[in-house]
Amino acid sequence: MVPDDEWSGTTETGSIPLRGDDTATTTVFLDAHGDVLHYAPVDERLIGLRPSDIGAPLAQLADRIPQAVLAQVRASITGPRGALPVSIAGTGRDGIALYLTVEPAVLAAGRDRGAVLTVRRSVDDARVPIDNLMARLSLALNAANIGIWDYDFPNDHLDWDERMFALYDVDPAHFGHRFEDWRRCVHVDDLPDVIAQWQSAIATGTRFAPTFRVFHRDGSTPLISTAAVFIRDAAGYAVRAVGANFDVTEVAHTEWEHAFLFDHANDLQIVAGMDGVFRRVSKAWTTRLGWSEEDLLSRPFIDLVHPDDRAATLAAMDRLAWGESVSDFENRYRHVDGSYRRLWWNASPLPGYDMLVASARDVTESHALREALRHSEAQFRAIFDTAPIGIAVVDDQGRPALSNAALQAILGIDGETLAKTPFPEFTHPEDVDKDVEQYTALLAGEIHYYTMEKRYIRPDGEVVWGSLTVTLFDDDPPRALGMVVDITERRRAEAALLESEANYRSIAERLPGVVFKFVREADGETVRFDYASVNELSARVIGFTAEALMRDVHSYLGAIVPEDFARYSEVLLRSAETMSAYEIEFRIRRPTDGAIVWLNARATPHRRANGAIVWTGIALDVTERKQATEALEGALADLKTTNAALEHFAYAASHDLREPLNTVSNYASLLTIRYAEQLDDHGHIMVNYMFDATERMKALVRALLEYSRVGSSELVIEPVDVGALVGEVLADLDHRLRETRAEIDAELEVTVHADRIQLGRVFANLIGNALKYRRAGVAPVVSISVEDLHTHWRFAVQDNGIGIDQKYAERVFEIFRQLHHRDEYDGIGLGLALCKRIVQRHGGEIWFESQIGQGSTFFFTIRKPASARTEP
Amino acid sequence: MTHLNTVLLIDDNPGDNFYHRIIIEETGLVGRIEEQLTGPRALAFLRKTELVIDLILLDINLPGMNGFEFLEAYEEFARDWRCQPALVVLTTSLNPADEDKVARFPQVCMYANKPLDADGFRAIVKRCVKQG
Repeated sequence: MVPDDEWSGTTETGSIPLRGDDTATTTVFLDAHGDVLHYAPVDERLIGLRPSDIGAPLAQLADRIPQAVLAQVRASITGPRGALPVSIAGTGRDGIALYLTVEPAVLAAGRDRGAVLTVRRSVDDARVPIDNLMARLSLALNAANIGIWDYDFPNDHLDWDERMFALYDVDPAHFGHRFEDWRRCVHVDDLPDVIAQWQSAIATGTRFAPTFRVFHRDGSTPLISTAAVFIRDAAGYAVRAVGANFDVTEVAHTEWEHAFLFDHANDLQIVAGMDGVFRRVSKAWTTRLGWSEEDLLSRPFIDLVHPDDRAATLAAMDRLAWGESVSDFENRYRHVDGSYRRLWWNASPLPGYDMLVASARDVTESHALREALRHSEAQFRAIFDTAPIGIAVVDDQGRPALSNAALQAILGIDGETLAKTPFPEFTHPEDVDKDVEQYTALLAGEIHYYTMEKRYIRPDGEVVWGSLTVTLFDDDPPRALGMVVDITERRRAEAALLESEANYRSIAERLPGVVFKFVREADGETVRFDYASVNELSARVIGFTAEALMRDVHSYLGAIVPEDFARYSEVLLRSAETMSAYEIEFRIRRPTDGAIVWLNARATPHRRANGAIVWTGIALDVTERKQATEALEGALADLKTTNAALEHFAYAASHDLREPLNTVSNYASLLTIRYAEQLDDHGHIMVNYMFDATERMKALVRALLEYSRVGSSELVIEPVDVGALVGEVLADLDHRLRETRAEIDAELEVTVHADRIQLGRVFANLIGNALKYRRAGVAPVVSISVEDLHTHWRFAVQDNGIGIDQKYAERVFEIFRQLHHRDEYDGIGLGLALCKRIVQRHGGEIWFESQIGQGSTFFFTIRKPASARTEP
Repeated sequence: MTHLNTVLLIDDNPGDNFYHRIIIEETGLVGRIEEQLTGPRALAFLRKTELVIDLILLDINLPGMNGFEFLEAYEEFARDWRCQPALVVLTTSLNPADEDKVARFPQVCMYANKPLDADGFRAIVKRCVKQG
């Protein structure tokens, strides 16, 4: 045992004194934890590592190297900053000097960091003295576990050293030392080949180096390899053979495993020299590229590399030659058929840097896939960026991690903000629940996609309608692809349409009648209601519901009163011919009770593409109006009859009433003449009263007749030169004018439309009154004027007479009404009543303005015919 | 039967006044009969007369100021009189609306259709003129 403190460590690599041929070196690759990744197998016995140590901590080295040193090595590798370069010098447990160096390394695949531990042993520094060559050889043979044999041909004697007995598991006490004794030890299956080689070697001098199995007593069959040197006599006969045997079981197993893995791996494996020639290729090369092993090993592999990839490949080789690993390198190799396969390489130089191991994967298909993917990704990207619809990749938190410009424009939010904002935050509150519910179901895999129309709220508060489609995009973590089309305009239009429809409907529902679309098909025969709206009240009024109209147009047409139906058909036909709107009033017999209902229908036709004609219109119930009109017409007719009767009555009165009056008056006259002497004063007074009364009665009857005629006779409207008319009136009054010394002032240069005779009476009465009601001792001054009131003419007759109390404004125009006793102003109270009646029949009015004792002005108007009206 | 001092006839028709005068004289109940042809003239007469007027017979249909307007003026005019004459409205119109109008004047004792006959006049005196 060597105490640990005999070791000393230093970080100065320059202090390592070993160099040259007298050193043996072991290289161990360690990962970041200090576990063994790989070691150079030829030197395994030097430090006692076995293949089973790969993946295990460095503990096995403890057989040869003290624990404290190993701890130091491990510490230098697993430090917080990774491996640190360390050099340690000391003595191994076998007393031989050892020098250890630790260097940080990036391990082959570039995946991991680790370290390279180099252990060097000095041969010269062996502390055990070797006395002679045999002792040193023995030491070497022991160390190598090599058995030596020596065969004497003439005596058939085989000499084994003690290691041979161990290798063959033979008890030396029972060994016969003959060729036959060795032969029996060899596995029967391997023996023929071994003997043949043995005989060939004796006879022809070929190499004798067979590998064969031997039987051990425990039933195992270790693999032994042998090599021999033959010694011959002068005649060339073999007289002696000396050889060495060694157990290659483990080596064989390891190599076999390697070979198996090497050959059966899907990847293309190679061992190549830095000179650019493959040394060994796995079977995959043949299957993938079609070349035979000979083809591959017989030329520089660069010949097979695609010309475009050669420079890059040589550069990778340079890196390997400098001891670097190469990973993720791609180039193309020529297939035997001339096509190229794309290979993906990981390569590491072997220790010493003159060889490399590499593994390649045929990625031709996956490259094509990748290319296709990249292409489709590019396409997606282009669509994503330029699509007029909003697109987003939404994460499992509902955030649009990736969004395109269109979506950002729709939502009014930039991409960066959007990526941090879960969609409920920019969704209308009323739509959040539905969206979230479906999104959750989508992420949970319950549904594959969903669509909805929803409202978004932009930061400026504006509401945007979107049509949303969401599909699952990725599973782990779940992501979704959302697509949004801005349908705000469409929704707005729909809302407007709904509103206008609602308005229309509410109007239609309130209309007292039928709103309809009536269709006459292209055949010109078939008719039907395409649409009808009848509210409840109207259905009761016309006796048809909308459903009844739509179901059976013929019972509706049948309900039209027969004498109106022909007119109705004709109007419809004409409307269809001229494609112009129609309006018609017609009667239907209400089916519910047979009552007559008047309808006023108006509709506008248009022609459909198929030739059908559609009338859109309304039919209103006008029964009441019709009835009112009829009543009015009846009343008018009645009035005419009455007027006629009145006129007849007036004539009758004028004749028939006058007769008895004449009788009374005649006899009263006779009484005063024939019986004058018999009558006393009272008698005379009485007869005079009788006479007066009959005269007055005659006057009243005459007035009544005149008044009734003014009211009932046909007006003869004609242009009347008022100035001339008044001139005639004044001529008639000439006597009274002169009698009263009246002064007349008339400015009437107008022509009006009136009944000339009646208008003349108005002027005669008014002027007559002005003369009659003059003030005592004051000569009458009468001025007659006219004013154009645009729609009417207004005439004024002004006097300077006694005036009229305003309280009689109405009464003066009543028939037989007088303001003065006839002993003051004679008359019967007809004039102004007559004037009023005439003026009213001319569409005008009559009134007066007056000051008692100063005079009166009578005004009256006459309506102009429509054609003669002037604008104000 | 009570004897009346003076009866005033207000009527625009002199023939009717003459007739009523004859009828009333024949009953022998009235000392004196006065006639006025219009309302204003009747009011003027009443204002200046010193006669004791026990009964006024008023025709409604008068020119200018009609019977009702006379009644309004008279109401004002006769308010302070110590001794109020009985007022009877005469009409030929038989118009129901006139009856209602007459009822609005408390001084009007009754209305009667004209022409009056002797019995009609006696009934008026019996009903409207205070006994004694």
